[in-house]
Amino acid sequence: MTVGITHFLILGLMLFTIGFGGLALTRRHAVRSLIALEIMFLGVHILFIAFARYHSHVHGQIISLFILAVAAAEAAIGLALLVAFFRTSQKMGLKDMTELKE
Amino acid sequence: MISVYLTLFFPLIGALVGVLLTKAVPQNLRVLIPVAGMILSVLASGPMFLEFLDRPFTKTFPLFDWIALGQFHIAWSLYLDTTSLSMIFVILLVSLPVHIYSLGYMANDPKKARFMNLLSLFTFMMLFLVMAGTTVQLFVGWEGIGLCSYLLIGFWSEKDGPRRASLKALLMNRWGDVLLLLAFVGIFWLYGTFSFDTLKAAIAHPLEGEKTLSLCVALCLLGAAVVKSAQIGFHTWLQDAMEGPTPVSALIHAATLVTAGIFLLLRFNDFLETVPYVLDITVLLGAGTAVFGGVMALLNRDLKRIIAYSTCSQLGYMMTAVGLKTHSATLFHLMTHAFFKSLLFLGAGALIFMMKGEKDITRMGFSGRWPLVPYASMLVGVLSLTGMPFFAGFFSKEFIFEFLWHHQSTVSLTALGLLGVATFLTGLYSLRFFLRVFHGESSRKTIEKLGYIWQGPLVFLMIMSVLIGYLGKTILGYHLLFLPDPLSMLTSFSLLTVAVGLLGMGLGGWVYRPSSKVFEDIKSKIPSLYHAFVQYGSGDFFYSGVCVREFRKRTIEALKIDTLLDSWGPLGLSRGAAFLHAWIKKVQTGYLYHYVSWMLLGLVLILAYGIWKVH
Amino acid sequence: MEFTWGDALFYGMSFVTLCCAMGALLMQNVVHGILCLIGAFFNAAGLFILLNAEFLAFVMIIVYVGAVALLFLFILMTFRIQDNKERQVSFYKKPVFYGGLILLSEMIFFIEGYLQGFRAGFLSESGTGAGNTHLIGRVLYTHYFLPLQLLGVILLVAMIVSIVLLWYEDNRVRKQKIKNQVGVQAKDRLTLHDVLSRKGISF
Repeated sequence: MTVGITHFLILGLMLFTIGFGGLALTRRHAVRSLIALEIMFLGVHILFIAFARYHSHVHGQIISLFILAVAAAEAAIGLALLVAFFRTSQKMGLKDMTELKE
Repeated sequence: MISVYLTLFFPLIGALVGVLLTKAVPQNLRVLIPVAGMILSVLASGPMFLEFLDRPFTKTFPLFDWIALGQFHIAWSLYLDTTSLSMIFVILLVSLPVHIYSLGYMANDPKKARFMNLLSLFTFMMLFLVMAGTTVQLFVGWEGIGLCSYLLIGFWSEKDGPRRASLKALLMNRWGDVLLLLAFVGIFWLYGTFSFDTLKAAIAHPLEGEKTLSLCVALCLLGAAVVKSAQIGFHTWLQDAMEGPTPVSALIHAATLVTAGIFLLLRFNDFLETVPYVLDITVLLGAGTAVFGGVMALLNRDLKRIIAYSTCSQLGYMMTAVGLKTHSATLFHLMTHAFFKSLLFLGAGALIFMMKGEKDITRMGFSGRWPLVPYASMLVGVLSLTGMPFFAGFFSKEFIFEFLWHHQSTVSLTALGLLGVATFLTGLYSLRFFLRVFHGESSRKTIEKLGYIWQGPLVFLMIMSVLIGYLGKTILGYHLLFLPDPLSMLTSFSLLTVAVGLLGMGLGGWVYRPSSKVFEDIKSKIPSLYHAFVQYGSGDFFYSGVCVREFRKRTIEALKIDTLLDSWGPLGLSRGAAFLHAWIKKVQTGYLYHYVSWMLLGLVLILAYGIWKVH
Repeated sequence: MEFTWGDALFYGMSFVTLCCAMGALLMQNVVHGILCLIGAFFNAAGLFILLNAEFLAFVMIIVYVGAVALLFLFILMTFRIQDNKERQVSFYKKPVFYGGLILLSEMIFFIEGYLQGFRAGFLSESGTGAGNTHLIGRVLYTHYFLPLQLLGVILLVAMIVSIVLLWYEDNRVRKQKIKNQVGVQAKDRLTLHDVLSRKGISF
């Protein structure tokens, strides 16, 4: 197998960058920013697991497991916040969330 | 030894119980609680004195750990040696008569319970100060007596005078407090300890270098003592403190609080000896104050202020003695002075009461109607003050003079000359107020009757004023240099000093004799001198006139610079900040995706920096 | 080094993963975007298996696809947004696009520099050291036991927060409140008044 850790790392970093770009560019739908966050998490997962494989350690996978749980919690709270926001303002866009500005 | 703790804490308990009792308890009952506390304290001190009297000792009694941080350790403890024991003796035996006397003095005052509580609290603080085992505790006691003094001077706070006087006392004493704190910090710096126990051992080994710091610390200590003991320059608060009730003057401004400064110098005697010049300064300062106090006492017409200046003068004697490293003479004079001066104060208070509040000696004029006990007490007080043989003041003063004579240095002989002048002045002003009060003319027909509760303490103090001269040796112990037998002091040298005093008294008697109109008052004879002393002598001219006025003027000038600085200092900064803020605010759009873009930029830059750093 | 099936699988799945990730962000309809995301997760799970992380692969599918993505979909259903056709994310916004590119290259450069001393492939070819469920369980419940408990607390807090945020009582619905019914007292229902003649009473 010619594929090594470098390939996996580049893949993870690409996913991370895509997610980051998506987060920076989403304007309309707040759910889209959560999706972008999930993609960033996915990139990080791949990095950790690749390193775990490289070092033949199990610790990387366990950190990955923790990230997974935290991501799940994040998604739950984020969605709850979105729903609460939608209930009060009947809007969904990130553009409309500017209460903290002034 | 339980007796030590009981002696210390009974006055506090008395004060606390007095405070905690509600209004439901009648006031006449509440005032007795602190008195009971004092009596218990005096009784409890008996075993302590029997145990330690008449032999040299130092002993530490632990209280509790305060701060324990590894090497840095402060434990509160009580430290007893001959010095503190003599102070305790004085404090207890002056405080108790003053407490009882106050029952009569404050009988008609609506706040008398509070007064008694404060007196007891003061007594506790003073005992705490003299028993302090660490410098920290000493400072606590020092502040405590300052606070109580403030509260007691301003006790009649509904009047303007006491209010101002109390504030003045507090503010003047602040100088001393700051200096004391600095001195203690310096001592910790030098010797690395707070407790007197270890300090004593540490001072025995002279320090290498650190000369400047030692000098500064010594000067700070001296400054603190000078302020507390109302020496020249800082005497202004003492004369105004006479606005307070007379028992307060007797207890605080004659016997205890003002001697705290002397006590401080005695505590650090070993340390001061390691520093050059400071003790010489002390001697000259003390002798100067002795003369100055005499002059001021001669010029005042307010009976209490005369006695206050007399206190000033006598404290000058003690300062001189401290400066000559005569531990025992200082303590001895401190003790005798405490008794006869509080006697004079209490007697004066009784006289003022009988005259319905008249304090001016030229208008008191009992003219023949001499009340027995006050007359006797003033007479004993005056004789003791002027150092007539067989009265307490004689022994202690002679002791100081002998030291001055045997010391045989320029400083000591100068001081001897000054103290001679002071003794002469003492005779003069003593006779002045004595004759004016008791033999002057008066238009007054009636005088108030004096109750027994007033007379008891006077009689007690009268006896003590004579007796203390013979007891001194027993109390002070004989490890403190030598203390000759009382009767052996009647030497030719002592007769000389007595003669000086007698000369002053004789001159006073002639000048101020009742029928004499020759020397009615210095005011009418040499007005310029009189005015100069009255105006400048009280020190108020210097403080409120020169210092405050100049300060105000300079402040107004400085205000211009301040405005200029403000315009591009604080104001300019704030304006600049507002301007910048208005500009930077645009970044804060409130949109999440903009913030994420900035994060992206930041991440790019940080990584770029990292790559640049690595390669 | 020859080209193996493993390599083919890696290239194929990573390509699909990347495409799905882009699609998740670029699809016009959010629902389609979430379906793309699910595709990405599935392919990533395949990649995990290539990395000998079978347990994580399945957990990934169960948690992300089964719970998170479905939660997304479910929530989207509840929004009654009329205009569902949002404009697609414009990746042509140049600063962000170039910024992303620079970031990616920087990160790769950084990691390449970091990996100078690494072997080309993996340290152990057999790969049995990591990846079996038994091993993960053993380490997780011994060495990482306390963090695991903390993780449980975090999830509990997340649950409580979600419930608190979305809790509301609909007052329009009439409900029987037994507590109030039982607790009622006579003075709540009945008051006695003295009525004076010719005065009457007023409430």
